[in-house]
Amino acid sequence: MLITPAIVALQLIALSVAGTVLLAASFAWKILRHWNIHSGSELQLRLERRTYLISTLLGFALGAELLSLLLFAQTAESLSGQFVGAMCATGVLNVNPFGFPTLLLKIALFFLAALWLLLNRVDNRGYDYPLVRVKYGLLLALAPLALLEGAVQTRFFLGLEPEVITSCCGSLFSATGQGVAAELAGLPARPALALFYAMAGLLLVMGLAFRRWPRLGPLFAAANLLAFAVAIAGIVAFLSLYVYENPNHHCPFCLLKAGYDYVGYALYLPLFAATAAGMGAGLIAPFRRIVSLQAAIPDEMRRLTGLALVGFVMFYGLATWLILRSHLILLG
Amino acid sequence: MPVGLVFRDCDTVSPPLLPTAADFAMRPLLERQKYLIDYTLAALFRRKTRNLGLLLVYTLLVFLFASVLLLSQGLRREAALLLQDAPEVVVQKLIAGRHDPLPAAWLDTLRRIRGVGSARGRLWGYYYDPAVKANYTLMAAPERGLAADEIIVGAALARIRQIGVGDYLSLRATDGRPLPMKIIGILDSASELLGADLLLLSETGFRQLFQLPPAVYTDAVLTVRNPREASTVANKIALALPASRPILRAEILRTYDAVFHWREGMTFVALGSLLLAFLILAWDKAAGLSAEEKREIGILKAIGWETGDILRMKLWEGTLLSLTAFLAGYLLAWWQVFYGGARLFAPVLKGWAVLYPDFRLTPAVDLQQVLVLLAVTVLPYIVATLIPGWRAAISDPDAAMRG
Amino acid sequence: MIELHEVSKVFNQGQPNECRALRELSLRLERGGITVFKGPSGSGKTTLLTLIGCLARPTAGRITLDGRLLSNLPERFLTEVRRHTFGFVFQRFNLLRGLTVLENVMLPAYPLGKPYRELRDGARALLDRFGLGAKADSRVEWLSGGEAQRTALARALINDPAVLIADEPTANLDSALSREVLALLGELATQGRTVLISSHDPLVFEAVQVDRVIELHDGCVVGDSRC
Repeated sequence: MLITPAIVALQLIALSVAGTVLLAASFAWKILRHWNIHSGSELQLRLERRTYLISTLLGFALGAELLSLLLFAQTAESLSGQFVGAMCATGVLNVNPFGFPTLLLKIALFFLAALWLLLNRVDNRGYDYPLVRVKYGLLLALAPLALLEGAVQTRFFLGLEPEVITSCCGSLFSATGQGVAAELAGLPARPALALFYAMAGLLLVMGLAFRRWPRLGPLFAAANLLAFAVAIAGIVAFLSLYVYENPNHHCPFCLLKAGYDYVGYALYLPLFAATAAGMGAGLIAPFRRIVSLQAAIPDEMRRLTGLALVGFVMFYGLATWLILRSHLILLG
Repeated sequence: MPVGLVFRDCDTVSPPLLPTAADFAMRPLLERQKYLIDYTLAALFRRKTRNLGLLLVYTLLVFLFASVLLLSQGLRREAALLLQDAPEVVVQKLIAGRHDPLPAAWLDTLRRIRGVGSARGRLWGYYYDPAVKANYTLMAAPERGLAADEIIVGAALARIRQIGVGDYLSLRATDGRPLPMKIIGILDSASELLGADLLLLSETGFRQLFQLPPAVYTDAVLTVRNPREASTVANKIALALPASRPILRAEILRTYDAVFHWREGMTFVALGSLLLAFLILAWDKAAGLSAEEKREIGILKAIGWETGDILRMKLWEGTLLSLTAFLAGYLLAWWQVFYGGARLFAPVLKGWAVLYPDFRLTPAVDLQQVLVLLAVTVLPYIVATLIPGWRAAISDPDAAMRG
Repeated sequence: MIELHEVSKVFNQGQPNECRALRELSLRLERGGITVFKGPSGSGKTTLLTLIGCLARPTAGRITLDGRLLSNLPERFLTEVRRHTFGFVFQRFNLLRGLTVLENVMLPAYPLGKPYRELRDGARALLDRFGLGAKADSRVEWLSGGEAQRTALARALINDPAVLIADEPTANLDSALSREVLALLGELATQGRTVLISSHDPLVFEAVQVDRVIELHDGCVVGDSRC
């Protein structure tokens, strides 16, 4: 196993996220069992006050997960020198089968925490805490995921055996390690490009439909998730090629490097925010008939869809600009 | 349906009784945070002595972690810079798994291998100087055109022996004869980290000193026409000369990297106990509210601050403290490492060496480093103060009335 | 209009030190005027005021404000109601030491996030009205008892509440200052605000400004007279 400060830090984050989410889940369990909004008892008051702690803990988890996501990509990148055949972060994540699952779990946890906080925000606007059961149910589902993330990440780091020269053995790692580099194959450029922009159109249509018929909420949420996946696939399949101006470099992480003007941050941040907002808008829609939320939900839905729109426009705008600016010609 | 207040001045417009959606949406969030920060700052200053101690310890913690990171990163960069000019492939001869002088005839064999640009024999080794109980690195430098009794020494070596240009340094040859060597130059300290204990001499001088036969070298360095082919070339060498050991520059770099990473990591783990002590202090400070502070929070809640507002205030308190400590600690570490000679962790991170080079690292900031530092110092602090902060925030609003 | 219907408040419920502060109390309070709750200490005056002022929730019973049920609202919403509807003057002034008079007055409005200039001007106007304009920038530690009480009053009014709740407002004042405070409260009542006072000071419940006196004993209403 490797011990580097970044790995120590990532493990520390995973530990604290798992700890806070577990703590929140244990409180959530108590709340689910004893909640009675009509009671003026001291127990109920205590439970209500716990809700503040839970949302604070989840807010922390969200922030920590974001930090962890950034650091994880950076770390994978910086370790690439130590693994033969690993040209960049992608290669490092491929060193053992736990790399990409860790990354996916981090992304999933980020979105779930963001959704939970949205749900919490909406719930706090209803004077009778109408979503208590939904909210804490979701939290109970989130806790094992946080644990899993910690476990998978630990497995990933434990499985990192750097190949270095030692004084007793000078054999050539490089020769035997040839071909280990597994770059994401990616889709052929033309259909990927078409899919990428078709998804933008679909999302726009779905968004307009959702505004008109709020009952399409869950469908809209699914469309957002799909758009996220398509966007990532697009980055891997062709956008990265355009940015690097190299027809073979598919890495979605190198975009975060200074050498490419940190353009990755400008791409990923709006994309993540927009996806979270869009999914949130769609998923809260089914609760719009609850009496105490009749004002809050349409209001939040409007705001979140607006946010999603802005985010996706920023993402697609930047992506298009990057393609047009590039000297690389993929589609002859 | 907004419920208006019936009992209030008739000439004023009454706001709706319960908050409406617009109330949340239109509320100037920024303005609110500004007020909270303002209040928090004032509160922090009112309890100067209490917070100052925590701030100092916090700053020290950031300083220590940042020093390790900045120093080892600087060292790694320095090593990489040095190795940039290092030969792509080094070939050694092995006998029974040990390094042995390489016959000059091998050089021709090497040159004939396809892909090899040039091959050159090197003479180098270590020399133990009992006078200062240190090992020097000796290297023949034919390109310098030195006479048999002339040498050039590294700056640290010159310093520790207190010698300069024109002085003589006496070396003991392998057969016990003293060999007086005239110093005709001192290496500049730009790349001092690896060149500090270096002693350059002529090939003849080197062979005299170690009694080496004329047709052997310590090892051979090759240039490769296409750097991407380096490993293929190395394979061919291993085939052509089975007793050889080719070493690639990339592998050396990787080893350096791994060693530095490992040392850094271990130092981090060692600093962990300190982190733990700090967290206990932070928890204790956050949990042990003074009676005065409790009273204040009670009053704030009674006059209309919500639990969330107090919680946000507490979070701002943590953020302001963390930010100050982080900036102060990081800047101090920066100064220490890049301008203060990095005395603190240099022995641990540079490894063994009697002659410590007196070097300056090139200052640089790195995002990953900042993220790591945030994760190991600020994040645990937030975790430690979350629950105490919440405890403070949920005090009963009617406490102020009950006195 | 505030209505209490069979309101009870129990502290430390289910524990050996259980304490019933209010027992199935019912009450109607109209808008305007000064109402005084009198009674010995421990009679439940202060507890009653905390329930009316949304500082706490009743253990049982219903409280409505203008027909809207408050008693089952979570703390978060009670705070919202409290901010906009009630202003508080506490027995021991409860000003925050280390801050200036002006800052103390502005404090209840911080979470509302009004523009700073507007808030500051409002606070200064209030202080001027209570003759404290010159003291605005001095620390509250340096105030006399009367000044502190007027500062507390200004703070209670910063969010322009419809109801002013004063818990034993004269407890720490001599009789001259007490009369001064009563005059100020009377003035506020004539401007249309509802003033609720708890007191066991005869000077208060016998004052001319008072419109109604409700007497409490052991958590029950034992007397209700209109003046």
